[in-house]
Amino acid sequence: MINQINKTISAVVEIARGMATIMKHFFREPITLEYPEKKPELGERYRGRLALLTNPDGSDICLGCMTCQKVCPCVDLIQIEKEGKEVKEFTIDIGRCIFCGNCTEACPKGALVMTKEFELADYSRNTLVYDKKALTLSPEESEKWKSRT
Amino acid sequence: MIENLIKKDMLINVGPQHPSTHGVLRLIMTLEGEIIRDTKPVIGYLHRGKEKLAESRSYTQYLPMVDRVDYLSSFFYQAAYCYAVEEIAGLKVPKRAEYIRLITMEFNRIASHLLWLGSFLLDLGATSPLFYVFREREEIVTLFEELTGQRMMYNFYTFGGVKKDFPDGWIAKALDLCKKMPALFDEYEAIITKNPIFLERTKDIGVMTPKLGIDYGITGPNIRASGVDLDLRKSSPYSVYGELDVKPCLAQSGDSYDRYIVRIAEMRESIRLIEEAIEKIPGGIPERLRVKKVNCGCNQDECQHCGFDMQLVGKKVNPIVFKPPVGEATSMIESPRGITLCYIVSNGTNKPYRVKWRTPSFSSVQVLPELVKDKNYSDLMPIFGSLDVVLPEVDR
Ligand code: SF4
Ligand code: SF4
Repeated sequence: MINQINKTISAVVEIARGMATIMKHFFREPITLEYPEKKPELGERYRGRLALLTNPDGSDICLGCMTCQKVCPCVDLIQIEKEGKEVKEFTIDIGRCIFCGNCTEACPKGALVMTKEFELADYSRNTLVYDKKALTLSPEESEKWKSRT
Repeated sequence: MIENLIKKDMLINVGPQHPSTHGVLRLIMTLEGEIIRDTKPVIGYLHRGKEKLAESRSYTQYLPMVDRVDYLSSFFYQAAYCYAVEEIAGLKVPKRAEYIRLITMEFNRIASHLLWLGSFLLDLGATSPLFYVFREREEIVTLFEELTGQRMMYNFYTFGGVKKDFPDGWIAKALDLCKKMPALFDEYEAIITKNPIFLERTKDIGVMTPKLGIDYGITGPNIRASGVDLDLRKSSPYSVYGELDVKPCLAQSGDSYDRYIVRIAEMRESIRLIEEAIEKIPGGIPERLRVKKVNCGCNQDECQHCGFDMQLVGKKVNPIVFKPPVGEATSMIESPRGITLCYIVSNGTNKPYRVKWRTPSFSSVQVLPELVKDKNYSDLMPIFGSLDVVLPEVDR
């Protein structure tokens, strides 16, 4: 009997202590973000959608050496077509990309970067296949990405 | 008549969309009234062929996939894979890179345990702690995002080191977090540890005797809760754990409650380890190291500012032509759920001949039928939840 009473008292005390701790949270600042209105601040190294950089005069940096294709874990995701020395077509199937960053690291020229763009939802799989035009950044934007560590 | 009906065994199907797991597991249970008589786990719903995939990919191509074996403790799997490859190829890892690995791994351990804590209590019916642990986990994940570029699949380690140094200001942020964390753990404990409902549901429930645990190959916090002192960080130190003072966290009775106690203690221990490692890291703060490197510039191996141990990668390998010599290697890592083993056979080409993963959760699922046998059905959640099973790791 005494045992029971002791147990009950300690239970009530413990629950009260727990509740008091939970109550403390009422007065803390919320840490969530109202997402579509407010965007999170992303780090410098964020790995988002891939993009191709260009020289200041607008020509491609990419040589078409295929290194990026060979290190990509999703085989055949990057498709490169060459005509002589010029890279004619460069497509990336973003729908299958796992954003691992292998390609950007392996690129000997630093032509491929990962931008901070992450809102890539689309209505069909076909539109997720980005061609060279969609991937290439303007020279001004390229300068911004080149300085990144 | 009614007695006959009650006596009859009932076959019920728990899952595959199971509330208490990360992933999907199906349990076929035979119940007699409310008493569990038999359990058959059916695994394989999340099988992605991770071992087979390795055979058609080069070593570097396989590296990002390793993260996905267990997405809650990616760093550990990457580390296990990298250590195995480094052993075959004979690559040496600089001290600074090892320390960076250690710090990230310990943070990852905390993040993983936090998530376990939240989901475990959710299974028991307490919803508030889930939000609290996610709040804290968010801070760790933000640190990881800043360091590696992503929140879950880090792809940060490479053969012979790590890919990048800490960004400026990262260490200060990490230390701030380390200072804050213990007080938050105290808060969880105030809510949970002595809560009578929690005690009632977990104390003396699902007792795993040391013998049972060893027979089934249980490792990690689950076996330490039974009083078996098995912690690879202490007993056979990999990385630079040998230089730090690791104290294994043990409990005696091996019930669900003790598994909770051990994990909480491990989080505190990890915080201490991180603080110790940040103090000892060769080269110290990256900003200062950079300046010193430029000023020194002697490029000798023993130099304190630009020597081998201050590098991030020992010897850079070319991802395309990287071909480790013929051989095989095994590496063992103490991951948040137990011992993770990676076994690689190389046949001299740029693709591994065979990669084998030994994952701790697999053993934990196997021991579940023994633990829940002849227990009440309502004990299933406290027992299964406390084992910290992550299904992608079981099925891989
Ligand atoms: S690795 Fe770089 S230079 Fe080579 S093809 Fe890819 S993007 Fe172009
Ligand atoms: S980020 Fe990874 S998956 Fe995506 S294209 Fe580059 S290498 Fe391939």
